[in-house]
Amino acid sequence: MNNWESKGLASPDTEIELNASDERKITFIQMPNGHGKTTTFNLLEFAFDPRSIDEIVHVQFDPEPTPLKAWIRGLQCKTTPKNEGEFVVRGTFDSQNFIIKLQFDLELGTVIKSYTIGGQTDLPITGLPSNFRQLLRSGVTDFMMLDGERAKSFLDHKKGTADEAVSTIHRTDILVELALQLDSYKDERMVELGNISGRSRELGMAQKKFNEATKLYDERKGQQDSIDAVISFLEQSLVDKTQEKDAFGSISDAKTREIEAQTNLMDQNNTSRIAEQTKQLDLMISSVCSISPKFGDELIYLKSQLERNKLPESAGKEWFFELAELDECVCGRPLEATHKTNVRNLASNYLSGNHQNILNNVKNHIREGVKPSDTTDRDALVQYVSKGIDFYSTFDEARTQRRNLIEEAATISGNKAQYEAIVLEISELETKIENAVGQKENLSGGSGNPKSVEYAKTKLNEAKVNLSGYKDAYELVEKHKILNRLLGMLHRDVKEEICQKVTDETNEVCSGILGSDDMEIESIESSLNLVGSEEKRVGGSVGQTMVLAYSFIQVLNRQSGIDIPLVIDSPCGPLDDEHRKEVAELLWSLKSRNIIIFVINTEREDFVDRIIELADDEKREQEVQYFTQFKRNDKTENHFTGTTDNAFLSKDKTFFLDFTTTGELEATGE
Amino acid sequence: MSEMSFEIDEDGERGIQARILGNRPRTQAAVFDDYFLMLNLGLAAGYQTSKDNCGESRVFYQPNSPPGAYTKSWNSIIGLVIVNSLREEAIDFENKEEMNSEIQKLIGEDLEEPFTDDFWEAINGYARTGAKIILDMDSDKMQWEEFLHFSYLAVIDELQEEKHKNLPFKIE
Repeated sequence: MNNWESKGLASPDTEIELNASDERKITFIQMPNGHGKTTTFNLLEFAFDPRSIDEIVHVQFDPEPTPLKAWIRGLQCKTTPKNEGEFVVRGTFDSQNFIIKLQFDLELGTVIKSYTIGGQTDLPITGLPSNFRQLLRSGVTDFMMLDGERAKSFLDHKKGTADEAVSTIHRTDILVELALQLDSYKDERMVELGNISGRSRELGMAQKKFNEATKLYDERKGQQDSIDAVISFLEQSLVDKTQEKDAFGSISDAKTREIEAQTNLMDQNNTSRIAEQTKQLDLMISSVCSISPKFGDELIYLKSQLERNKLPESAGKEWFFELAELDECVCGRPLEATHKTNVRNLASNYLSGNHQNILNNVKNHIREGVKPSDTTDRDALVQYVSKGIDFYSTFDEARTQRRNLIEEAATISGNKAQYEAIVLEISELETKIENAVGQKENLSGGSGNPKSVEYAKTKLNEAKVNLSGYKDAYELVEKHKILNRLLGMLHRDVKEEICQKVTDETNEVCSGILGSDDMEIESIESSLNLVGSEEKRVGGSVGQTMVLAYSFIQVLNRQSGIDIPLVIDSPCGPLDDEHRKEVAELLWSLKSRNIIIFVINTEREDFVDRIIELADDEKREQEVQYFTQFKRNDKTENHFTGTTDNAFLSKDKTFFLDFTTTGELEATGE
Repeated sequence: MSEMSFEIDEDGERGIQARILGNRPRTQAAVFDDYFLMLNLGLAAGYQTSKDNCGESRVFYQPNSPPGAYTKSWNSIIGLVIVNSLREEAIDFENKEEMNSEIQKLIGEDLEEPFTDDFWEAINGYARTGAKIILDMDSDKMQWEEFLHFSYLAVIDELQEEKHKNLPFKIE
């Protein structure tokens, strides 16, 4: 920040030229109370507010949040009120000059904020270079503007932004910003990819479709490459089969039928001949004597013996038994028991009627049919059996003949089957050729033909693009997850480590100033959490709190690489003499950056004096600037000799050190 | 089981089947069944074989409806059983009492069941002898007529020749 200029506002219409060189300086701006010191302080803070005007509903300047319109209207100068006012801040950032201009309509309570940077004028905040915009967004004013309230806010966990301050000053919020940018990038890329899913399941399905499309295309292409060869092969096969068919000539069924008739006739003849043979043989051997002529001799001998023994014609045995039962003989003499026993014994030598009957049947049979062996017709049986043997030999020939006929018929039948099979094959080949020609036409068709190679190619390309999209989406989502997790971990770890470092160094600085551990920080969260009881955690005196805040700011300043001035409003008001000197020494040690200190004349003692001492000791008097400014009123009138200006500005050190306003304490605050 | 039947073991059955093949006359199966063939062989041999000597194990050879199926030959068979049994028992054909007594062992007085158990045992004994003779024949399987011509009739003739050499009686 090189200068600021105020016109038509409650602050003096002056232009404060700070330090145009690279040399670091402490700039005192001495203003009496009620001459716009706090207004200037607030205007600077408002100028560096990173939000657009539309976003600002309330300003957070103390003591309470104030509606923007009311605050703007309150900027109007009471003594010489104007409807319009302007506040301009000029500076250099990253080797580029910038201007922040605030144009107020004090009547309507509106403001237009414009930026000029790098030669580009009237830029809205959204048109700023990203690094400059980033600087504003980093909450730079939190570390640039410091007053008692802000110092206290470091200890208030409700208002506190201590951890944010650490994050901002150490740029760890870059990691958060990076994560947000990563989210934005991911969202944008996902939109570009058509908002398709980045899940593995969808990727898997896309891969499957791609594989299927590849397979289809490969099949079609393969078919197309080989279809001519297939057609050629089929056509050659057709020629071969046709020749094979022609070689068969005509196949007649007549021969087969003739053979069947012959075999049937043979079967009938053989069957009837066997039947006849069997019948004749049956008749011939129906008598056992035909089988063995000597059986006849034995039977004839039996018959002769039976007849020679003169057996009773009939019932001989029964007659004797009846006789044995009689009391007297047929001659009239009585029969004794011994006689009866003799008769019964005698009777047992005779055969009964039943014996006689069977034996007579046997005898009659022998008499009528049985011949002696030398007269039997045994030779007839033997001859007939021989005839049968002959018959079977001829029968075997017939069977051989029949078998040959059947084989011949089978050959003809087989040939016929073969012929028919060839005819069928020819028919099938013709159909195959027709199909192959049709397939060839289909394969060569355009992309509109679902059976064409072109169609498969189109589908493959679609699937490829589709898969590529899903792959990209999947990779994007996965990478985003990993990076997000890494950034989160990194941010947490870095923040933790830095906070600890800031805590340690702040405690060292603070205890060095206060000479005690009364304001020792335990941890940094939303606020600086102090070690000790609940009561102690609220903080010490205003002076102690300011020391802690300066210590904190100093540490942040030391650790940060951000080159921004420190603007302090009334640093010593609440401090006692001893602490004033210590704060002066602290601020002198902070002089690695520009420090702008708003003071009133009563703050000079022990504070400004001590800084002058330090500058003198180190022969660096030129590094301290002294501004005194105030507005025209009854108390300051004697300083406006012959001018019509309503504001006074002096850069003189002596004037600064001697300046007093007798009515300063009574001046009405604006 | 009919009285006119006997049993033979499985080996015997297979042995007989192994020796004869071809179609046999079917019009009068009764006279061409295996029992009839065996009985003729046994009667030609002139001696009976008891169960113990035949390895009986199950019913095998049994004529159809005996003896009715043998109508034409039945009286010859009765006569041959009687004459061979008398010969086997060495009955003196001249002795009327001995002969009558032996005949009464084979033929009973019951009109309904005229043949005695001894008769059936005798007829089955001759059939068993025939079975054993078949099993002793060559095992080359032959057609039916060939079997009759080359084996069966020839063996019967040999058996008869042998038996008639030693007959206790003279056949005129």
